[in-house]
Amino acid sequence: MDIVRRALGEQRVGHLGTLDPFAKGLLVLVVGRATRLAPFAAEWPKTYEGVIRLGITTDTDDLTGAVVATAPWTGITPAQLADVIGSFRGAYQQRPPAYSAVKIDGERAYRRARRGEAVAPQPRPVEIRELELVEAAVPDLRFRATVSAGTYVRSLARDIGAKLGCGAHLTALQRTAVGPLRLADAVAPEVVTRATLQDAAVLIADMPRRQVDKKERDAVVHGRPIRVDPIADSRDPIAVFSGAELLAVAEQVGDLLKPRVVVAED
Amino acid sequence: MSRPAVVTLGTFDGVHRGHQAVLAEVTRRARAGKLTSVLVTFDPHPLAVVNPSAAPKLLTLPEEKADLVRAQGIDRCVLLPFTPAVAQLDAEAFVGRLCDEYAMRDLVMGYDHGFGRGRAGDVDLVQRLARERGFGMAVVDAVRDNGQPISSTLIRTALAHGDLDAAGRWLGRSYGIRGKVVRGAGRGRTIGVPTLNLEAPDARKLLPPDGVYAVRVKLKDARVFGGMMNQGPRPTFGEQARTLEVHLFDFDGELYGETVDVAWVRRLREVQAFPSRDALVAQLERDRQAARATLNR
Repeated sequence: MDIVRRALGEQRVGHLGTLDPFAKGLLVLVVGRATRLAPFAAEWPKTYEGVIRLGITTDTDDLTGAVVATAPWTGITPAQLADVIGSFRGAYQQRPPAYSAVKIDGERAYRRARRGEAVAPQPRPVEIRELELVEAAVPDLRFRATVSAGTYVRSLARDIGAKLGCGAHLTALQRTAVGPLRLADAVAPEVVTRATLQDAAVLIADMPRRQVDKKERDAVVHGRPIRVDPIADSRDPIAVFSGAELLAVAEQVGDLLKPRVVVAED
Repeated sequence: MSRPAVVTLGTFDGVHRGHQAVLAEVTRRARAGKLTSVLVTFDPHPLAVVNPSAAPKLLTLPEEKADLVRAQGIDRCVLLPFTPAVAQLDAEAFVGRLCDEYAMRDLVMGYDHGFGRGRAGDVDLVQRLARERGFGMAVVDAVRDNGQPISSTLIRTALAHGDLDAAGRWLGRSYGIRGKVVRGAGRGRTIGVPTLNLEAPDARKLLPPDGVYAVRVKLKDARVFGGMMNQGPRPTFGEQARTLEVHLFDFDGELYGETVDVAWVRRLREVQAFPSRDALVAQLERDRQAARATLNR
């Protein structure tokens, strides 16, 4: 992020979900006015490829941690593997790793864990949309997964190991997609320039759009509401465009369309 | 007693891709168990009874919905009148009715579906009833677009703001309306642009914003023609009433009294008044070219 901040001379740089230090792959950065749109992409699912090592449990649930338990994995059959992998598809209550940025009583879990506290973050609902074994060279399971925002893949590895009875940790992780954005379309931080940035409109690609005329454009870019036909039950955000230019994300209240986040300049 | 059935129930307004996933699970189970597939849906929209001021305009009128549902392979589409009495039925009584009336063997639910008084009939309750009464159940997850669940509300929002592309993506087809061709004033013919006049659309039907649109029209004999449609106010019939006038490309014939399905494809421009007949004719020619270009893409 610092590299990009310097390269663009832009203070406002955010991201759509961190990557663990040992992981690689796609990190989506949002720059300048687009940072205001980041919340609308916060729920995008993420796709990963990685490797789970069976038989060894670590305190971080990845290869950077200390080994806390080992167990034999030799008796595990391919059928058993397929069963357990299959059982994780769908929604489940997941406990984030002890070494994670979730907060416990206002303090990051990893800070507590580093002090030697026994840390057990509250489980929370996550969804494993896709989970495929790409290659099972036991004890190494190469997998591909698409998960809801907020899912820890380290926890998924730990939980798969627990269910198999041998424990497990994550030894490799690469993020290959975030929502509609693909790793293949990404650029290395060192070569980011204004020209390599994508249109901010990609962040609201899944929103209903409204086109406005020139007079309405003036109102919207100054944050003023415009009059529209009322819709009975609308609460969904609406992306307001003037031609191809994204002006704002608005919300409809009665017969007024109120700009909530304005991104276009006057 | 009728053949045992796989049942799903809900408003299914729009029969969008999320609904289609539920219906696919119903037909899959029906085929596997040699059962009848049944959708029990409501007319009017439950909110029109429970809370009329919050009732949304509809993506699909009952007849449109029934046809779309049958096209998904459902054997029976039951339109249950949503009377205040039905609204009072609690979820358990409702499930009992489904078991008795349709010999329900399986109940398929959408992930967010709630039914019965106070929407108390959720997944947990149905799981309990399924055990007690011995029917099977399945819950179908949302179909998502970049993580966002596809819903009727979302599609209504898109259409109300004129976003036909998004609505089409979420519906799995272009948004359309079914209407009967009625006799118009015949003005179009005098300027070389003969039009079909559709009967005034049902006030409950959601229309995209007024304008001139490129459209596709499906006739009763299943032939499809491209065309352009003028959708505008019909002042003499009240503020809400709309005229729908369609000029079909490459079509020559009479359709009076026939029912056609019109799909909005792209908005070409706003409705406007023209200073002269020549200006109108020239604009219509530009519209025709724009509509053809759009439809040929």
